[in-house]
Amino acid sequence: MTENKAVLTKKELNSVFLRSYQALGCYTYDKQQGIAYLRAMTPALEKLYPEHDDLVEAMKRHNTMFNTTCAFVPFCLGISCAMEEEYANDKNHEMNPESIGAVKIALMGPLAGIGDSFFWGTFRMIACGVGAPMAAEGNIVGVILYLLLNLIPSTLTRWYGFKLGYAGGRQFLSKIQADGTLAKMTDAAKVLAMVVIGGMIPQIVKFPIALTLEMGGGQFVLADVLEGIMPNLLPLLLSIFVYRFIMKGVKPNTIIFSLLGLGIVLTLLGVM
Amino acid sequence: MILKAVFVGLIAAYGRIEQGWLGQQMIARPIWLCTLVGLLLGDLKQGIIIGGSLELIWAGVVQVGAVPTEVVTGSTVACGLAILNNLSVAEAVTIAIPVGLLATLIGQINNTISVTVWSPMANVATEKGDVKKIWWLGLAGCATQAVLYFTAVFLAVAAGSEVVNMVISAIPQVIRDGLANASKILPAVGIGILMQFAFDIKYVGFFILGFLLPTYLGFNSVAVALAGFACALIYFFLKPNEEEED
Repeated sequence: MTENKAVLTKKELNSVFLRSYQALGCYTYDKQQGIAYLRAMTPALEKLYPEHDDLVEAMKRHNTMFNTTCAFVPFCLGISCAMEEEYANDKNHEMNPESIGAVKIALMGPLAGIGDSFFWGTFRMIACGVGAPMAAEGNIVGVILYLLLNLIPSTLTRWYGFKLGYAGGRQFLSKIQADGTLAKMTDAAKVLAMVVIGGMIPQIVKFPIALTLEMGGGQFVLADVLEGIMPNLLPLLLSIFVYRFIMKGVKPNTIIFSLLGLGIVLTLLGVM
Repeated sequence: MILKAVFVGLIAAYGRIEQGWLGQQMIARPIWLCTLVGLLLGDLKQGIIIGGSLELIWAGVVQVGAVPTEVVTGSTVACGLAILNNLSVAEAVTIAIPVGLLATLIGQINNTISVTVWSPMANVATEKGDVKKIWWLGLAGCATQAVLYFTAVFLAVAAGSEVVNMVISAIPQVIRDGLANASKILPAVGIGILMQFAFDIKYVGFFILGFLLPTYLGFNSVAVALAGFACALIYFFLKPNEEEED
């Protein structure tokens, strides 16, 4: 046995980071992102465990079920790398290797909760709110904005998440969780999402009204009357109705088909 | 025609690869995939318009838990058929909805393959410490998806054109106007689903504010997002940490 310490260099860490992008490369029901996680860890494991038997042991540790938001996978990998490095240099076997897997499993749930609401719920939604209405009018700037608004937060989270995870991310996460900063950030993201969703309604939902009646010499234009009460009144009411139905458990697809039907009926009646 | 169907199939395969190999950065979505379909089929502008419209309708469809609609297949097939047959945006939307529903079956085929083939192979490779095999396996799952989706989308676009033309020309004008009107109210569904995600009665004031900015002050979507960012900052810095209150 040599006195040399097994240390991960930039080379292995970079390969682990690049392999984090294939987190969904072999998604299975039983292990979800597990095989991809093992795959991402192998450059580090090969370096840390030159003995074949040690390598097999380490690979078994990571060939388990794992699943979280893709953008947070590098953060978890960073932590796993740091812990494997610690274990590989722990010649007196003071560290329990099971803790490596336990930390992974403990992190993936809360991270998926935050990650899905940030990346699926907030960034993507803002990108959609900003980009899609422009694109629907044929403006390519909308598409470019959509891409940037998703790719920039995701790339930054991956890169800094990996670095932070490797450099003691466990302690950092429990700190911001304990002092309430994390909860406040999640709420602030919700505030942003609420403004964006409210602002999407007048821009993307249109309710064209064609109904005009002759009344005692004067013309009754329904669209003007509604406009006089409040512009975009019908889109707002419709959106709230749809939300209420969804909350009652009506399937979105059922609502889509009902609205298609409503559009046809109202057009036949001359209202739209 | 066949070559164009191949192009559309390749975009669908790219959509799967973006999720499987390139990190699922939320861009395998109608807005980006339809733009690419439009580019390859020579009508970029129509691709962007269809992509933006489908994105608005499917804004709420997220890949968390059970997937209600497969947006990659739905958007590429609908956009491809619409451009190749000169269909309107409303007609493209009408095609996309049933296709997206049917396509969830492809995902189930893929899931069966991955759990019966790839997962046991990974166990064997792990026992042997076969690092190379693991490297390949990490790509195999996504490659399977790419092939499955390419095939399905290619066939749908190659065989679908005639059927679509026949069906669309058989629809009377008033119904087509109705569908066009319906496609203007459909984005309300996306809004409803997004509200389910983020709506909290505590924050209803921010929702109202967001609605009023474009309605009365003419804010565009970028301006609304910036105003929302300002609100989030105010909230974050003025609200004391829960712990400090104790």
